[in-house]
Amino acid sequence: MEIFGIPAASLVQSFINGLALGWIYILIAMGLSLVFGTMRILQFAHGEVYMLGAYAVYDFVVLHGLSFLAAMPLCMATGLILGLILERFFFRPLGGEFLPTIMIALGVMIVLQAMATVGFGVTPKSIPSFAPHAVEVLGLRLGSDRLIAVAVSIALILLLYLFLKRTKLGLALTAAAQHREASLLMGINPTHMSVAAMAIGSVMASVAGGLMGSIFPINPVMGGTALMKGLIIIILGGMGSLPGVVVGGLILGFIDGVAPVVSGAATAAIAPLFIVTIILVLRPQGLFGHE
Amino acid sequence: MSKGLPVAWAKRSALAILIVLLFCVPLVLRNDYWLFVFCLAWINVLLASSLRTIYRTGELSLGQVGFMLLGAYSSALLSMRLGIPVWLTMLIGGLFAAGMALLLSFPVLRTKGVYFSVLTFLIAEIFRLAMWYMPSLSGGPAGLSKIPPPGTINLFGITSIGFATKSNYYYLLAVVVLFSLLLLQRAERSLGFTWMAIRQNDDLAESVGIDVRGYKLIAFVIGCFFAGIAGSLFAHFMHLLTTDVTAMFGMLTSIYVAIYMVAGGEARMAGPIVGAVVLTLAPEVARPLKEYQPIVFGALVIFIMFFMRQGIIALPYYLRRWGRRAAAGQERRLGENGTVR
Amino acid sequence: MRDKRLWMVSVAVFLLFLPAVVLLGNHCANAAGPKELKIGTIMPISGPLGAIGLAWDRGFDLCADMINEQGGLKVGADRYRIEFIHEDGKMSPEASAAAANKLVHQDKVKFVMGEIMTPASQAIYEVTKPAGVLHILTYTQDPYREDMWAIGADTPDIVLLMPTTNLAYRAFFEYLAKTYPNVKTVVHAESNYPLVRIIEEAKRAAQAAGLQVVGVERYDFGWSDFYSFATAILKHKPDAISMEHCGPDQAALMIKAAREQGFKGPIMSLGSASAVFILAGAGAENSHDIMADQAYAGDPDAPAAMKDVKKRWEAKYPKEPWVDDALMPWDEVWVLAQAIEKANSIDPKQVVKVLQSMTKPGSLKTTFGPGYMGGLKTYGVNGLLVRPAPITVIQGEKIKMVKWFTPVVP
Repeated sequence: MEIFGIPAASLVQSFINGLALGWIYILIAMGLSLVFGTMRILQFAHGEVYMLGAYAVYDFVVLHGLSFLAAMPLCMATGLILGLILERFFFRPLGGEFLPTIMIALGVMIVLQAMATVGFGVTPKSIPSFAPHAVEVLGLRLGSDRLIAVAVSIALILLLYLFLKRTKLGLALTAAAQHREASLLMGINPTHMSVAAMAIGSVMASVAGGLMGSIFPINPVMGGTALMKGLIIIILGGMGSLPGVVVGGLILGFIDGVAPVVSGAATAAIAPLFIVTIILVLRPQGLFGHE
Repeated sequence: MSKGLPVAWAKRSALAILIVLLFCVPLVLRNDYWLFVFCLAWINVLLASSLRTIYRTGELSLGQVGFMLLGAYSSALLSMRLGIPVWLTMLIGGLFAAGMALLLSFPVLRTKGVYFSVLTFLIAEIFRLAMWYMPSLSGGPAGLSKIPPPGTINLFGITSIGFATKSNYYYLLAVVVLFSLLLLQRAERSLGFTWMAIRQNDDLAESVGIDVRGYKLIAFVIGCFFAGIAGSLFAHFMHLLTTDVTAMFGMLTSIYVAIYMVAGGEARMAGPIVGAVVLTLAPEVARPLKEYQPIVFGALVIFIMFFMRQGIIALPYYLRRWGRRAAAGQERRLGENGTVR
Repeated sequence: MRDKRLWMVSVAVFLLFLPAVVLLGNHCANAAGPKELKIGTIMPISGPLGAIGLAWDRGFDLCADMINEQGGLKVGADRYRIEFIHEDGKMSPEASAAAANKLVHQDKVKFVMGEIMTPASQAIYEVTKPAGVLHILTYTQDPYREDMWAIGADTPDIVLLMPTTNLAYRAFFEYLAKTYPNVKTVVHAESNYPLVRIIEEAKRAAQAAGLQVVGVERYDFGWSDFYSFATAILKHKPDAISMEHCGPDQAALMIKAAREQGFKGPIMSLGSASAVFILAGAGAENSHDIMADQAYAGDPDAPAAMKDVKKRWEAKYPKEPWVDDALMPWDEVWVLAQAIEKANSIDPKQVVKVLQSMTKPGSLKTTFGPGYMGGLKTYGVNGLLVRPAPITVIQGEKIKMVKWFTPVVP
């Protein structure tokens, strides 16, 4: 059976391809969305947290011989510490002003990237895959490492969802992300929210990096692409809206997977940007955003 | 202290001396390499200044590089494919960029703040990718090469000035950029007050009858025009254009241009100029540091944001402040002016 | 008021200070040692091809070590030690132009080797040509001078001391057709870098070997995820996949993605990607029936010179895994050294003339075997190094250079 001259099997396969990676990008975008919603800053260094998460796992697994399972909690700890340091020493002193925070985030981005280059070298490094085989289901194939990465991502997102909906801190965070001024009126401490947002966001980013690192070779400049994808997702879904992130991520995953097969590299590159541009103009708050 | 004629004259003569010195640079630097760097600095100065014009209305455009691309390619292609003299195509390049800005202003100026910045960022990237995937226009991965320099000027038949050499191009850049800065300064003088009002609070400005959209449009178009001119200057200087992501028109450059402006200090006209010059020369001076060089650059940016938020040109203000603080020995929190939003 | 004067003075000081620093820096940088030949290199040390750039710099250095150990280049009565100045080209024309400017005008080198992408190399040539400096290309994807650049009778002072990728097409497709008689169809997987004429040549070579080309798919050079692309390739249901001009990471990822999606046929990687890199990236269970065009110095039957380079690398860089790419820069330097010694001069104009006259097969030694300069009919000038090349086959953990061929460049 063929659609647009392409075997249906290929189309479905491409759909699965895109979705698989989409979930990891959703992890990244979640953090970006939380931080933007709560702190109202565009955390340009988020991609570098992701990159350092990947290198952390590389360091633990390849250089210190830990198993992947043991390396993951350490990777989360790295992300947590990085996020807390960034919030306390780089973002908080600036008082949330627009231009200085963007500049600082950019400066941090440049420095972290250079530090990774100095520390690990430009040569792409590989983390031995924790699941090197491919799995076949109903004629569709996917690397097991991707499947597991998707599973972990979904699990984390569900955990985050439970946290946000069931715990007091989580509810406060949701409120702060949705509408900052109103949450201030409700007596929610903005500093605590900033800390929580950065902490959670950075942990998720570093886990995403670790997962991605086991599928692809890692290099010091991988943060840039991740940031771009995250940005696209949160604009699609709506900055500050968490269900929006999931929807946006799935849409982007779909385009990333299907466009190269159906219409080639040009569309795959330009289409997401184009769509996001239209959304920014017509409905800047995205599909699910507020304000 | 009376603000009188003597100060105005002192200011003007200092500026004049500065300009004379700038023109003497090629004579002092007998080294083509540093001339090359200084030429790039001039182009960055124009870019950063064009960004500042738009920022006067309160919007940070992260897409100046996209309009630079438009100017560069239109000027290059017109002069190469249609044989139009470079002097004309450079101007057309700027006009094309301005025209696109006008066209895009309808959707773009509907957004504000972070959304505006992200939108301009994405638009620049779309321009780049579109060019990349149109190899008939952009030369594809091989790029557009053999872009001609501006035509030689014949001075009354006595002598002619060619622009293939770096020193002559330096003079060209100096003249064009200084003239552009003059124009920008003029615009600032007539419109700057209104722009400032819009920047501080555009709803309030609208409520007192200022056509916010119109003024923002003017700033945006002017800014993009000069970005386009910077692009034309770049094209005929490098003789080569490519839309590779690692090259000039990639995402990182827009970020650098914004850094030049902010690090230099955007409150004054001279801010982006100083920022662009210092931050173009710094990486070259730091070349021996090799892979540590970006760390120095990034650290510099962070340092400036923490301790000299108004930028490098506010250095005397900060020096006095630190001096006062050291003398008094006590913490005094002074209000920051000029930082809004 | 005092404010304004103060900041004007500060600005003036800044702008005056910088040229002064620069002049001073200039002074210090020009202290040269006796009888040293400085050669500049511009390779992408940062960016997506950073690993290759680094391997090339190391290859340059290793050859310089070898020559310096023997006392240096013999030029007349003098001996010259080679000293390299490595710059980062970042694969971008602006950075390469800045680097070339520095090397030519500040460090005053007479030979510049560099860059991997055409625009960057062009930017370098823009600087070296007017200064009469010899530009030794380290890669070109444009053997057809589609943009009227590269090697030719009207472009002086530029040579290419390694073969262009297209020279391998014939031999590889013939080998493919002979070794896998059941393979009838092939898909070309190209990055968006190569120009159309080169892809056409690849297609012709496939067809000449009796294969039918069922599709040409292009991917974006910066991609790291090849799953979608693999799906795009496999939708044509080919028997074989041919990747020309891909970097090693991309080759490895593509192979992995294609195999994981169930493709079992042969895959050819023609982009100088090293077999070891591919094996490491794709995994042993995916690396069967792969043909690569890069040498494998770990092969026990490899030429002695190749194995010598590998030994030197392992001695000098014990913590860095050997990369076969380093053989190419070694050869570039070696050939240049042979030309300099034959010309008995370090004047780039003399050297290039002598180089272009060494057209007898075997007149130049390389780690791949005896070579010579050729290309008179194709380019109008003998500006291309012709030397033997291997077909390296990867079967699981086993890598072997199974066949050697010498390309023909009229």
